[in-house]
Amino acid sequence: MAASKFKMFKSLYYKDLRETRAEVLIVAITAIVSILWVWAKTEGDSRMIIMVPAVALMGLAGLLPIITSFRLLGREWGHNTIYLMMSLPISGAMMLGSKLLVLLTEYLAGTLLVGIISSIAIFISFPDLVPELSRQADLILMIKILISLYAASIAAIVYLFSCSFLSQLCGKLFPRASGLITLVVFLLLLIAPGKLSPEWSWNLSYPATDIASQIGFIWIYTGITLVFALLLLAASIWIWERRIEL
Amino acid sequence: MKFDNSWPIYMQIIDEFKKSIIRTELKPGDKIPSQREYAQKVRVNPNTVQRAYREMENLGMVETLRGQGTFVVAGEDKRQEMAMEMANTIMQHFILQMRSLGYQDKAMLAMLTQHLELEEDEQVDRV
Amino acid sequence: MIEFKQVSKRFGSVVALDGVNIHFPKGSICGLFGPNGAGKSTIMKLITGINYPDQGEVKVRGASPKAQRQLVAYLPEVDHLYPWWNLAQAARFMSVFYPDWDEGRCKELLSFLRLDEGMILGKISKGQRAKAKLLMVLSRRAPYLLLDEPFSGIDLLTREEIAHALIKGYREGEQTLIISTHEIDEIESLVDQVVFIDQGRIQLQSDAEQLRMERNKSLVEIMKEVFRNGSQQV
Repeated sequence: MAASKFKMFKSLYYKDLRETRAEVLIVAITAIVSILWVWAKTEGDSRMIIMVPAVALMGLAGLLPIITSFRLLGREWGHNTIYLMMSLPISGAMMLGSKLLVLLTEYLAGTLLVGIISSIAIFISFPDLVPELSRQADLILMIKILISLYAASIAAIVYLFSCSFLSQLCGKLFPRASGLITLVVFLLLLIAPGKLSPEWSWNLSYPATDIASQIGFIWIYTGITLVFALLLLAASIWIWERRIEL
Repeated sequence: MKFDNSWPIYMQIIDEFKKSIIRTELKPGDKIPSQREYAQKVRVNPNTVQRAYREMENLGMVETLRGQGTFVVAGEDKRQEMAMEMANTIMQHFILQMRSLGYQDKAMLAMLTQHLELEEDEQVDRV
Repeated sequence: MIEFKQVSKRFGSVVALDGVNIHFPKGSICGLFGPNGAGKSTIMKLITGINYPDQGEVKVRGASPKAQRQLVAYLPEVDHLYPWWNLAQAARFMSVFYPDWDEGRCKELLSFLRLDEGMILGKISKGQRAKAKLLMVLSRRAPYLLLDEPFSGIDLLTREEIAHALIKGYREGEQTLIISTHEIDEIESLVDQVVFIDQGRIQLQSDAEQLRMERNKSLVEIMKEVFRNGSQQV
């Protein structure tokens, strides 16, 4: 039974993964073209501005999966395939979980592609960057910071995906004003973390002066964000399983 | 085979088999199609065919042997009985219908004789 | 066995079902007849668990429909398969979710319905798509088959093909088949149970052969009679 549950999840995952191919391809091609273009137009130290398209592309790699998240779920209604999805003998957790993983895959693929392409460009332009950096700073620590920031970004994007699911499913409960409800709920969920978190939590990280404890706080925030993301996801699953009707 | 949808289909299936037996197209020991085959052939609900077959077994027309199929068991006595029964039904129907048109017995008989002679003549003409 | 007890359902201000009691006996082929908008699709969706009753209860083999989804093969009125799938992909997807999927039967019906594995759902004719949907349902050994308007908008020849495939694919005794349609002619000789529904109310529920015996009329004629008389019992 466990094996077949896994197969079901895999089928759902691959069915939706094809939806993200175009987006990942767009990110990859834009990254290569824009970085090559900057490369061709610059020389020497000015090549550092490769970082500009790199950062912009990171933003794109983060934005596209959010757009996909609306398409991925909305498309089931658009194509009437929601009739198939809802009649399958599976839980809402499996359904939304597979979609979440697809979106996460798109985010990871996009950001890693941009990261790798721009890193290669930087390291080729500045071959002695790594030795120099390791002389001046603690390379291990830098990697730790990068990893914690990346993890925080993943938690944030998962939160956004959960917001997207929950707001869309809330919208579906009101067929007449589906779009409006979705928009309102989505915006509310975006604002909520800022409004709800107590004042002191914002100052919590400042007393920590050393970088190690700063990293620790990043991880704590990552964890809290994930917990909230999972709460929203649980609410979405509940709506999917008990409230959605066709 | 085309069924009359205003009359129970399983009865029409039974009548069809009865006629085949009466005309001796089906003889004792002959195998008839399985229920599944028959349902597909005449495109009728398999449950209806099942009902017809069960009824035919009760009437002593056929017998199903496990794993071998369904066979005709109606012998000569049974055949004549069924022929009589069907003919009677048709006659009763005929008489009832004619009466409903206002024909008296004599007129009915005359008309029947006339029709039979007419048919005989046609056959002679053809030969 | 599927049972409806005093089921009511409304969509906004529209009453779809109004205190409906139905009993679909095991192993029967049941025709759910009524004009468009009578509540046929709602009955199907309630059995599939994608609608919930406002009042009353629906039981599939004694449990809630949602818990019994693996027992039900559902053919909705809409095209519910991904348009970019080919038939082989759709079949493979189904086989993962339903242990009762019968690959041999699928292959057999594929050639019987003159379909090809490589056909892409979004690029074939309406008739072929209707047959493809039927293939997904009949390839399962599911105890309950629900076909919602399988003939609507389909040409006569394809209708006959579908009706024929239904008899071929149906497992008597094991399967309960519910077909909703507003066109009885195609399946007049296919059903053994009939439910006539109009304006969300059951007008008549009976054994098809018994109805023919009692009234000496075809189901088509009986339907006309039932709906002419409206909601008063006939």
